[in-house]
Amino acid sequence: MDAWVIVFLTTIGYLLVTLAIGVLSGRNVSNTPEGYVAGDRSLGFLVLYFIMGASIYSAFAFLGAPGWAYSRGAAAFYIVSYGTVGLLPWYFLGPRIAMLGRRFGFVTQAEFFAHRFESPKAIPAIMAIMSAAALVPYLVIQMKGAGYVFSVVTEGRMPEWAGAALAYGVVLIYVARSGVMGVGWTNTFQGILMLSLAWGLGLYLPWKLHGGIGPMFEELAASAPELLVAPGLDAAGEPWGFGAYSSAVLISVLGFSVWPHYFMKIYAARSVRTLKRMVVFYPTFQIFLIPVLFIGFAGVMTYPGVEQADTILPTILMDLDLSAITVGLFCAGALAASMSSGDAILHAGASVLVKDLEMPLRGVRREPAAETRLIRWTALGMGSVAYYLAVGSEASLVSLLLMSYGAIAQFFPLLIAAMFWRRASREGAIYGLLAGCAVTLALNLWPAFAFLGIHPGIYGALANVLVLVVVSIRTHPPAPERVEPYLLSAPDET
Amino acid sequence: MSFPKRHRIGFRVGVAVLLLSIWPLYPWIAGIEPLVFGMPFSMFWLILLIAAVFFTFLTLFTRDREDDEALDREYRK
Repeated sequence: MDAWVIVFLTTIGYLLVTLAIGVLSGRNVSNTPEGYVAGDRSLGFLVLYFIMGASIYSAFAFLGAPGWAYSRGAAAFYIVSYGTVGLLPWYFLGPRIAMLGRRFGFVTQAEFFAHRFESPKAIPAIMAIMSAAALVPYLVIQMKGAGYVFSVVTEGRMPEWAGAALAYGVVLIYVARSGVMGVGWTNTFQGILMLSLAWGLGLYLPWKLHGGIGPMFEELAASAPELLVAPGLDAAGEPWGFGAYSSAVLISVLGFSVWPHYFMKIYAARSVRTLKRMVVFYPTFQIFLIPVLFIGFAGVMTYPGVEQADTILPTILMDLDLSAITVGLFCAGALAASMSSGDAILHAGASVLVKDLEMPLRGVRREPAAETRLIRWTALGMGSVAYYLAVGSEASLVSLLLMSYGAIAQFFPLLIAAMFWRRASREGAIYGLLAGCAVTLALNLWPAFAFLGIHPGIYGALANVLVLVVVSIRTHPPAPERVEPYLLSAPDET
Repeated sequence: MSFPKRHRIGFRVGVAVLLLSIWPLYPWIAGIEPLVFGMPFSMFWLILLIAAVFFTFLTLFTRDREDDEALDREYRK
């Protein structure tokens, strides 16, 4: 049997296992939005841990991150840094958000803000549009990643459009069938596969190519020290600025805890204790990036001049004489990385579009089963649009995605204001969000005005806070009985 | 509701770790020497920070048990 056939069959085997887990896992939840979107608030530690871990490690983890280490060196460290602290706000705020979710029946992020700010239409609609604008390009990139993996696996015999259709056909089936439970249990399987593979390859490749991690870095320190000193290099290969590096860390930290598809998982936790345990153990998933970066560094001296840095890992694997099963497992792992993010995005995106955009704007109320059905169909529609963009258009998605990081981060000041500032008003929230988005968008379009190379989202957040504060002070304060359940305060001095 | 006093340490470690990962503190630390476990110091530093966050919050988590269980009784109602 040809090697590529074995590789292909291993990958198909992975897809079949994923499909089986995904379809079977949704049997025990109710056919309501609460069951479909929040798993009847029953998720335990293991599933919650892998949902968060695996959703965050997207196709970028196996393709982009080694590529960054390979071409930009220590610039890639920023990915490790933001994940280390990014989820910590949940330790303090998560329990209250989960309690309010149960009390008022929230399943999406915007429902929380809509209720706190007494804005049943404007806030959810603005947040839904911002979320969709961020999530769709994110999903498209995951699909492209999956198509690319299949094309490599079959040595070009399977075109990228067919690979993306196959992988995301499976995702659509289990997302539509099982909702968050399908996402959760497949992510557990995919997460274990990704972790094993990252550590296996991350330790094996430096050993195989350089005789170990120590010798590899000693050689690099002698021949290309600029790659090992933070903040590494920029996309053009020139030294990167610490302003850009630091603001990339900061904006990602701000955005991390408020990405809609993560935030919604707060409501899915079985208990406050489970949620906090997940936050505590989350950094153990973060360590997984270290071996992934080793892979990129391993390629620098052995495979110089790879034009497309994202392909460094497949390039090394195809060149080394590895068994077909090992290559097949890598492909399964890379697909797992793509699909474990894609499924969560698709599931969250469909829920947000229905619950935060369609329902409030049209003012319709449906039976729970009908609402769930609509979310399922919306997932299918959103998947189709993303697939069309992935295979049928040449739109520059990376720039859209970078911009969306800045836009999503604008939810963070709103979250802090909602929970710590009694005076934060509906108008303040709305105009703050709009100002933050406008500044982020403008500075993305005219980057020359983003002083010191600092991320546009940081300037957006400053504008957001300023407008939020000024407008809140100048408008009617919200009703105390509405705000009270949301408020938290710093430790008492007594 | 106000946070228990012990949460301050978690908040401070979180902020400190963030500040130690960016300008102006990280540039002082971001060099190659000394290599630790074969890694450049700039990279090993990130592992130290992850460990600091993990152990701080693990300790906090064990101390929070009683409060959380009380919250969970309310949560499950």
